Amino acid sequence: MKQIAFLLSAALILLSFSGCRAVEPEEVYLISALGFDRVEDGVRLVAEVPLTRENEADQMEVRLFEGSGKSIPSALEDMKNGLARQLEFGHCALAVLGEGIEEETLDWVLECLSEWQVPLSATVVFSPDARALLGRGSLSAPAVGYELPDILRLISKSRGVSFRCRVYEVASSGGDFQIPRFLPNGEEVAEVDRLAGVCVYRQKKAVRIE
Amino acid sequence: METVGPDLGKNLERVCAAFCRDATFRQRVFQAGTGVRAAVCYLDGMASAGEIRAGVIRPLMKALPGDEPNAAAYAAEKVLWATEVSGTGSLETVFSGLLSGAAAVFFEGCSTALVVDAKGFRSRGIQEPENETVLQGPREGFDEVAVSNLAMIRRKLQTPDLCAETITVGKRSKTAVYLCYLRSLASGALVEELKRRLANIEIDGILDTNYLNELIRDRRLSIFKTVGSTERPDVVAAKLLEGRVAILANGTPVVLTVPYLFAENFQSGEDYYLNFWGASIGRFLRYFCFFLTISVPAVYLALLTHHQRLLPTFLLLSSAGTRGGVPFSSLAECLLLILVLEILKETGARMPQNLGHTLGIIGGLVVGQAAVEARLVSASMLIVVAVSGIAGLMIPRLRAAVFFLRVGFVLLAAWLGLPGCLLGGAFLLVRLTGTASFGVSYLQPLETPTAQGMKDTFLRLPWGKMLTRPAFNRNLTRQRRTKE
Repeated sequence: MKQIAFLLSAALILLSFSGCRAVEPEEVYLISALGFDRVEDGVRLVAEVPLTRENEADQMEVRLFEGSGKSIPSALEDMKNGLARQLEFGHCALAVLGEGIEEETLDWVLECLSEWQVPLSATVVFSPDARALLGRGSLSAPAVGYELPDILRLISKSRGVSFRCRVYEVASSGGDFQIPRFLPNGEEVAEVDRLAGVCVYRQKKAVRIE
Repeated sequence: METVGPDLGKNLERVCAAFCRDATFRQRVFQAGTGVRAAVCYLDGMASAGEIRAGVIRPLMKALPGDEPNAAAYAAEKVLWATEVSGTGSLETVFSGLLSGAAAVFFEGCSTALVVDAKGFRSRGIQEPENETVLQGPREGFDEVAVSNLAMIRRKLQTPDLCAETITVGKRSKTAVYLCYLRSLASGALVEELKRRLANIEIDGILDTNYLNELIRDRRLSIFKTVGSTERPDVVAAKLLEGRVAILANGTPVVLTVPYLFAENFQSGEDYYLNFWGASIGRFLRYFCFFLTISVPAVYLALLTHHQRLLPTFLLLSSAGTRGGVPFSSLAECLLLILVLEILKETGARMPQNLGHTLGIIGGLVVGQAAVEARLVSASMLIVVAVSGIAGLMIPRLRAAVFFLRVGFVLLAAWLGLPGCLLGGAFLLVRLTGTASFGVSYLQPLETPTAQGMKDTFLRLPWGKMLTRPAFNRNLTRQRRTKE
């Protein structure tokens, strides 16, 4: 009897600490990438969500959800208002920071990424327009969020240097960390020639990917 | 208590009255060679008519007149050819003799009847047990006659140290139950405790040793077996050599062994007939599969519904995709599949062998493919439950326990996620450590591990390394062999 009482109380304690309830996987939007853009009246948050078709697990389509607000949490609330499912940030592999975010609100972004429990292993990149980068589509992977980290990993191996900047590296760098810069196809930038592929900047030096 | 009287006619009347509704009852009255009228009674099918004719009637009719006033004693000593003859004045003894396959002989003017052994019932003979087949090793199995089963054990252990004590159990069945053990190895306290428990049994009949199992075991409601069972004489002989006690009963080929420990669920007789490397792989796989079969559906369910970030991204996406359109929750889907799996297993065990193809088609195509296509269940959950089911087949002795543990873990996982699985594991360990089989901790030798004890637990080391018997009978000689 003592054993049963002990086990029941242990179960109740565990239940109170677990703090989670069961959610079916099809009731969740799995975010593969997040984009933060500075807009006139605040921040625009973009989430890339890969969706599998019913009973066709190998065929995915990608949808972008976005919301705007004066702060990042209010942008998230705005985004959630139009969604029927919960958002799951635990599988986010990429955080794209728009140009306006770069200097002023990087700390906010990192704070939000931490609060939302985005994995510390997620890759952080800069792009002039996060929404444009996430919306450009992909040929080799179901989502940009899965493709760009792979590309960075590939470059790292071929060049012998690390272009992969993770959330924790950015957060612990003290503000002078060089985050890789990604540009959508065909876009012009001042520092480099016209780009045909994806361009990565490291310390103002562009790396072209064939 | 009725006694045998000197009047032959009255004696026969009483016996006939007792068996008047038994169509197999036979009697024959004849004039013995000694000049005395005699009658022989027996139950057809239980006693052999040929044996009675040759061993009882013919010698009595050919007997020469003697000077012995007691015709029964004279016949028993000098006339009958039967191997086992006993005189009695009690009609109850006569009845029990008749019911066990003996012939009863009455003499005119004599208050003693003879009970002559003439058993003639047929037995199935020695066959390989279907549930315990081996690739290599002895292939003989017990049959339904306890005495011949004892003989099979004795052929393997040719020592006078081997004891076989008998106890009659069952108010109406009067089943002969035998306790078999090696006197120098088995614990005296264990034998006495076993006798006490058997003597306390009150039941109409014992048709199988499982009746005894449920009545003498320690935790009667436990999902774990605390009494071993086998149909193989070599397994019983091996257990006796470890100091265990075997319980045989008439009418069943299943022999019980006590004490029975948790580790024995993972041992197979074949482990000792194969090379120890191969046997060790099999032994390790059985433990692994036990862990796998009870935990895989629960852990998958916990990850899928509570801890989605712990699943690989593409597995989660795939699972979400395959679950699209399934009308049940993951928990209901998992329980439904476990139930279907059990139905298939039960059907497979009960149905005639020539319907096996039908079951394969129904199980494989209908349940497997069509259910997924009809979106009744998801493919990923089907695979997970199937893996769990296949792993469970590795440990048939824990079949019932595995089912309840699997369902229990799944419910806990659905409620609490992975902490629920841990809670279930803790509960299981608490229950196992609190379980005992005839005074021996169920988790031995895992509870107090020793180097020698562990040599036949997770792995099966070569015989050269196994120097002692299991540690549960510490007070007795434990040395199995001396070191080379």
